[in-house]
Amino acid sequence: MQGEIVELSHLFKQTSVSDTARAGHTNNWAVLVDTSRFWFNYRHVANVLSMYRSVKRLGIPDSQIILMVADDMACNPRNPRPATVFNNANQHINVYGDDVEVDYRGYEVTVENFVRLLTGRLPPGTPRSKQLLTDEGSNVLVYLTGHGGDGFLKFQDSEEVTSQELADALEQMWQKRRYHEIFFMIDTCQAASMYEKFYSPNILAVASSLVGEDSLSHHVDPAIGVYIIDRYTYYALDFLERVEPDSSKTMGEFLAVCPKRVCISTVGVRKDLFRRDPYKVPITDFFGSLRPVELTTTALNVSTIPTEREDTEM
Amino acid sequence: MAVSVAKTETEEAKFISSQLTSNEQKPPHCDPGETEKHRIAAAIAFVTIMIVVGLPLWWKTTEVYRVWLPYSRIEALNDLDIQMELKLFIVVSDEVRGAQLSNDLQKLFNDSVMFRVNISVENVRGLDNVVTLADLESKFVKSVRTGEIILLQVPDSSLLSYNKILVGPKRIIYFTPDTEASRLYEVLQKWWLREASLTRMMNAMITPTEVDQDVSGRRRVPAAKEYDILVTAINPDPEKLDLKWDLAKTVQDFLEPFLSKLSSLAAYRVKSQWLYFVSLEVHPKLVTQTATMGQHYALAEELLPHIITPLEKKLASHISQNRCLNFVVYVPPCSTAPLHIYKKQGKRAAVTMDAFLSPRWGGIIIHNPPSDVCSNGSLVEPLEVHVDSPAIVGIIFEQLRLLLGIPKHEEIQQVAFISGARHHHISEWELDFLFRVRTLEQLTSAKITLLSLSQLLGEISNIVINDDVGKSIYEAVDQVENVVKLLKVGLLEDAFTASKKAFLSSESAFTNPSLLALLYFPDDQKYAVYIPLFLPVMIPVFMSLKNIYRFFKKSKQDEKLKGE
Repeated sequence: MQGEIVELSHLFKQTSVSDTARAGHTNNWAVLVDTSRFWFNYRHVANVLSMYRSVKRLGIPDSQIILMVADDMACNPRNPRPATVFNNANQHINVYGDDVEVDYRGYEVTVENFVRLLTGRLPPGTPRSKQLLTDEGSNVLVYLTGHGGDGFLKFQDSEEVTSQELADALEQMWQKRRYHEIFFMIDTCQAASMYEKFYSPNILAVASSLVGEDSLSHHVDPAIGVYIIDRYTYYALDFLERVEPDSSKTMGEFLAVCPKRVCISTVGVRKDLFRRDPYKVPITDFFGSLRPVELTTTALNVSTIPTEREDTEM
Repeated sequence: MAVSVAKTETEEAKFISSQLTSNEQKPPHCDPGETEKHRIAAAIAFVTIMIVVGLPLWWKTTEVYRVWLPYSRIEALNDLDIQMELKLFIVVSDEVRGAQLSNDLQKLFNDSVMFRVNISVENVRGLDNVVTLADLESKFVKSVRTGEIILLQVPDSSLLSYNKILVGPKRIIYFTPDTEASRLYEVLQKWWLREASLTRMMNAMITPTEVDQDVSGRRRVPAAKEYDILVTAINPDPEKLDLKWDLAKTVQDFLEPFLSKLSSLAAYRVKSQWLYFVSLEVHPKLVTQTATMGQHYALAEELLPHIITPLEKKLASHISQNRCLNFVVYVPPCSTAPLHIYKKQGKRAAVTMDAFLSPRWGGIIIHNPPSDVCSNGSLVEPLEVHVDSPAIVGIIFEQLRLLLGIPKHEEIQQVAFISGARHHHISEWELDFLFRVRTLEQLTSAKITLLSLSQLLGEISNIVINDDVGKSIYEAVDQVENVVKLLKVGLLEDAFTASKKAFLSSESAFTNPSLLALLYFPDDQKYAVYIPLFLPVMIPVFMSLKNIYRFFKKSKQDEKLKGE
């Protein structure tokens, strides 16, 4: 039966997003980690909470975001505006909000927990909100911020994760088919050294600075006396604030955000492990959560009275 | 000469010199030769204790506990030869025809890589006298096990509603006397066995960068021990609509018998819930009344993903750790009803329903309230709406079948398919296909897990392998080899059970929390700790080796000289 053929194409916006049922991902996850503590590292908490806010606004639900924040700035006794964290001195947006869900807080943010989270080797009683339950159709956004150096990232001011360990953890994720594609963002000093050792396929990586360069912070909030956000994250956020869930912006544009004249450090990109051309990948592939859909046009014929006996007749 | 020296010295000197002159009473500690020997002896003692005894002792005591693993057996999994035996029974009335069909099918199956067919022909009399298919079945069909197939020839194509081949809910294919073996093979491969799909699935799992899963593979939820099925009914405005629907009873009466048929594949937990004051966060377009349709609201296909995204936050489907299949029934209030889904080209998606599914997630059904209720101005709000349960359940079943892995059957010319409405909507051969696809999926997953685990444990030598992990690995390898054996003889259900055990064992071995490389002991740091401790001590020991060598060389030379 052909059904009603009503020409309504003039009512629908012609989007350029390609067919959502392509051979791609089926769900989106985000792992957002802030690794430094103490009041003077306020900006790292503001960084990660800003990314959290963007990613949530674009559609990834809390159940698929793992947020690791190493210190509590909102309820820190030195915070003159309790229960708020701002990423801008003019206090436009409270990135802490009413509905932030931190999965790993304070001293739970350790290298061991981070590696266990990525490889899936958490102890049996771990709550679901602390697990990364990705599968082979998951696109994962990994964002790290804190203090780093050439080949390592410092956690909690007392331990570090090396680039080799991170590369090995991602390889184990690949071996277990726990991701479809990964977008790796890191905003620390000498950040590019952290992605240099990657060897697993389908990873697109961007770093706020190259080896030998420091990532700089953006501005200081005179009211609280600490730097409030880092340059790379500030400009990345500026880009993301103008993205809506149905946007057609691409990852290639995102990779070009923060040129050297505003960022002072050079943004590093690693795309040799990534199969697709970043200029053809929509930004919602990593930052949003658009599931592919298929229309259902037939249904089974169900009788009104459910029967449980096994009939032998056809 | 000694005597003249003694005359000029004191008493002590005389005593000493007299000591020196007598050859028999040399003090050992003053003799350079003896001293040398004792020094060398001491050096040898040090070297023995430190290098010969100490080094192996240190090595043994800092060794990591590792259970011995069957690395060679795991390596052999790389070349697993998966062959499934298929038992075919051909029931005909004519011997010649039976033998010919058997030969033809055997030849066709020779091209198949995965399937090996075992055909037996049965000639029965009285086949031509039957009037209905039910008679045919009751007289000539014996029961078959999972995975076996009966090809039954009917005397007349009128019994098949003038099709050449008829497929029903049981493991029987009916065909007319003039059907060739190639048509039967086509039906078998395209609907029942789907060898291409199975091969592609295995290749996509082993080399995901080269091959992608096909459409049904992307839609099918991954293999797991238990699934949650959550049916949600959404009433966005309960002040306007009063939905009369016993959701709990509907779910219990309809879903549970359906799932009981699939209970051998996995466990299911079925839950249902009501949500109020939740709206779709999209804006459908108002379409004014036309000649063919009344006024309604149109939802474009591009907007459909944007419905799922905000809805997911409210469904609370992430409470348990099992994978959850969500089925959402949304009843729009009269102010935005009727709501219809439109395809990209501006045509309505379907006439009788507005529903869509998302691969591996679930489905959403839009159930519009009846137009007579909405247009009746005399009714007072909240308007009572009786939901059409069977229609909704029919759509849920269709979506659930697709999500659990039963693929859509493409059309083949002159081949008819009758679904088993009274067999809980799943044909026996569709169930067989599910067994096959899950067995192969779990087998391949266990294989790649074991291979990657063995590579990891081989490369990083300081990961502890405790007894639990060792046991799981052995169990997984045993069961993988078992599955291959069982598939070769055609025992499909047993092979499935073994593959499930293999899958679960390999998962538990890989995700065992103890398998974390000693993070705080990477190789370069290990040497950085040991070298400052031991190197200063070992330098004199190594230097004295040189002295020992020189001593022994000299003593050999001395002996040679003495000998001459």
